Amino acid sequence: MGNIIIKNGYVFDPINNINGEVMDIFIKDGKVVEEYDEKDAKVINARGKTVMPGGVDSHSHVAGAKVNRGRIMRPEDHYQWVRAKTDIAHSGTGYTVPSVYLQGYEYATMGYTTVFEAAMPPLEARHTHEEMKATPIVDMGAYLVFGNNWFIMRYLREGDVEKAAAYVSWMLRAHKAYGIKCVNPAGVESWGWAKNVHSLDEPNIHFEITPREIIRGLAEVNELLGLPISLHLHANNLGHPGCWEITRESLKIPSDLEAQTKIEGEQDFEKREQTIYLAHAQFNAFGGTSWRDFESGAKGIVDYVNSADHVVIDNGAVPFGPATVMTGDGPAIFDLYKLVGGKWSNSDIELECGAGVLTFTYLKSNPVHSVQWAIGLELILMIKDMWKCILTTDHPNGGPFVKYPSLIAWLMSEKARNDTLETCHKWASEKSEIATIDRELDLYDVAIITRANPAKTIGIAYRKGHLGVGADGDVTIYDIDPTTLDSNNYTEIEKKFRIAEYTIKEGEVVAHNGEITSAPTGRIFYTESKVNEDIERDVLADVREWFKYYTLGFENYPVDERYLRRPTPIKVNMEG
Amino acid sequence: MCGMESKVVLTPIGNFDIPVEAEAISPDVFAGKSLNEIRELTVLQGPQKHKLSEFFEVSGEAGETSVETTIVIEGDVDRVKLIGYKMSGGKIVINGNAGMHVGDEMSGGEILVRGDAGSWTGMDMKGGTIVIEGNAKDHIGCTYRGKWRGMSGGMIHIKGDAGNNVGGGITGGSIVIDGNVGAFCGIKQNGGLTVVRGDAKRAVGAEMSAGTIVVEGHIEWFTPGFEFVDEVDGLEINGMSFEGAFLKFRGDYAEKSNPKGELYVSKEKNPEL
Repeated sequence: MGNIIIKNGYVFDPINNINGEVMDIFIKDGKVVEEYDEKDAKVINARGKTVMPGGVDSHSHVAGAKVNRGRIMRPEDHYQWVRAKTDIAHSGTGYTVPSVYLQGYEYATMGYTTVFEAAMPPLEARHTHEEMKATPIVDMGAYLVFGNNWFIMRYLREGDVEKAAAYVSWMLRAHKAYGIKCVNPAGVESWGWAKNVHSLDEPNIHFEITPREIIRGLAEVNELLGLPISLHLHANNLGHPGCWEITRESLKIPSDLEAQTKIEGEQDFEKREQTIYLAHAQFNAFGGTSWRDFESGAKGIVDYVNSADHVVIDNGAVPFGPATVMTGDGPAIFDLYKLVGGKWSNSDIELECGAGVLTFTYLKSNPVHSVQWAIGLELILMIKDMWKCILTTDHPNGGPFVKYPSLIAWLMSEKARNDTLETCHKWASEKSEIATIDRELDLYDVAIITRANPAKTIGIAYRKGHLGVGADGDVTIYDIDPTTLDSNNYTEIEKKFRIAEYTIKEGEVVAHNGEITSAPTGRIFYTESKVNEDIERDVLADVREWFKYYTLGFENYPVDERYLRRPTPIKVNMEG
Repeated sequence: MCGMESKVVLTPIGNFDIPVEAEAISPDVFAGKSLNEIRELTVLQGPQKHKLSEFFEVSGEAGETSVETTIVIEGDVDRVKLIGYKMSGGKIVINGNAGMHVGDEMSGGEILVRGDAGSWTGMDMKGGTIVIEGNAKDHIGCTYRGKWRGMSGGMIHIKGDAGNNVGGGITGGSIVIDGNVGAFCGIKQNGGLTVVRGDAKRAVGAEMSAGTIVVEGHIEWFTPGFEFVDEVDGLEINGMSFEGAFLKFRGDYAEKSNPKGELYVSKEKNPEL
């Protein structure tokens, strides 16, 4: 943790309504503070440059069993994408599924300082934490997968939201997880019997619970506990033509709930307003009825998001090129595998969930892929309020996170989009609205969708995603002069966002012009919540009873703090 | 091609106890450089960077362009990897044995190895010619581990024997082995031509979906996913002619329901088929 003063830069800090004002940022002992004497700090002159809070990625697959499965099955993804060892940094390899060290370095190189793993199966929590522990520099956390959990399905089937909440509360504590992730609710359980569910009101096998009941139940649990992040949903029917409709209907389910964030000791900050955060919307915004009449379904999603105040989405964009598709939605991956071939892996995770992994390449010459590229951009450009969207590639599903700069360029430059439209399949312009959009995001918008809003959405804006006094001293300086920025020169935009001039983490320069200059250990955030002790006791008795169905002993199930680096519990709902 | 052909001679003098990775030994890199600049080029030994001159005595003269540049290596370099990496023109002659990954991803020019070659010769090559006068080890013209689409053009000619996985994943170009091969010759082949003049062990053409394999010798264990199509007398493929009767098979049906892979096997040498 260091002392740094960043002088004279053009500051973009949307949470504090600062839009390109020339300001000095003072960081002391790793936190943003009021002005202090220059001689006690390293001074960086950022004159003519863009200063933003450190990037926050609220949805990325960077740790755990399926990520590692991707690494193992893709040696070809590793041998040409390498970073050499230095005196302070490890070597690393891998493009779409980089090694843990490389992930930390590449995020830092790009100006990101906080990354959340989007799907941690409870049984794989130990593995996930071990990988996060080995990932340098960035602060992390992970969302726990609940959408097909036996206990959740049982309690919600019985209509017992309190017990479901007590179970979630215990699970988050036991596995040191941050929030609730829900993947293809009800469907993955049926996938254990080679089936799926295809509508919100179709009950699954054995538990006979519907996706609608699970989404509703988990959203209620989420607000009952007052978790920092809302329910994070990977909707049903993902990756199938026409799936935008079920997605819109899913988003409606928690529209009457009130967002509750009850973080102990943190009152006055930019709290989340949403009660549902839709993951990788692009994969859930497919139109048409088959691959033959496939088209963008973005408008249906966007129209709803524009009219609703309880929804945030991340776009999960497709920047073309190699990807590794991985998700807890095993049946979706299997369907894709049957369609395109490639190397496929699938696994069942006992009483909890499942996962699938597939190698994939998005081609400009492919009609469907070209429309997917367009959908990803539409889902930001057509949304009026930037505080409702977040930029991701659902790394590595749409493409690797190192392609964020390309996406920023497409969002900031109509010319960039038009030039790509000329080289990709004509379906992109014929089957989406992308060619008719002339909107170009500015640096303030980009700061919202890459740091301010992800931080706000996951309920961590008291310390991340802004540069107000008390915030973590995570800052990125890009060599971009906003006064001379030319959106037509999009290759320059891409280049500057790819390699930050300075990435500062807790007051320490961690990356400078692409080189790692220090590799501090980041924090792991997880949520601790309190519920009624009697209910928790009953729930634990249920858990012990059904533990006979697990392949491990109950005592070995929870993950203790030794597996975490700089464990940082966030206490919520302490009145119970 | 124009101008004079210039020759740079490399004589191995260094300690090669740990293999040396020498991507720099390529006409594309040498072209237009002075001898001193060539001596200063970086090679890797383990994680350590070294100068080329620590391992080779450098003499002669490089041409202006790659096509005007010939590199001659006088001696065995079987512990030097990646010679001719990504070369697009010119010529490399190795008067001795070569190490692994000779001519990886090359797109043009010519490599001649007078001795034996290591594994992964011509990995993912796109064009040009590689001739090995001796034997070669495994993965000749094969794509990298985990990859399914490799060599797309050019020609590899091994005058001796080759090991396992010859031509794995090739999509174009041709590979000719005058001697025998090990197992999995033409695995995952998706185009191009693989010719084995001698015998093959097992799993010839396993998982192939397109392209052609010709085996003039005996296959010890024939791949089960192939179906007999026809008997042909003499073959003419890519300007190469093969004499005698061949059994034509199609496969691999274990990989696809409608595979386009063609496997020709000598009738005389495989009486059990």
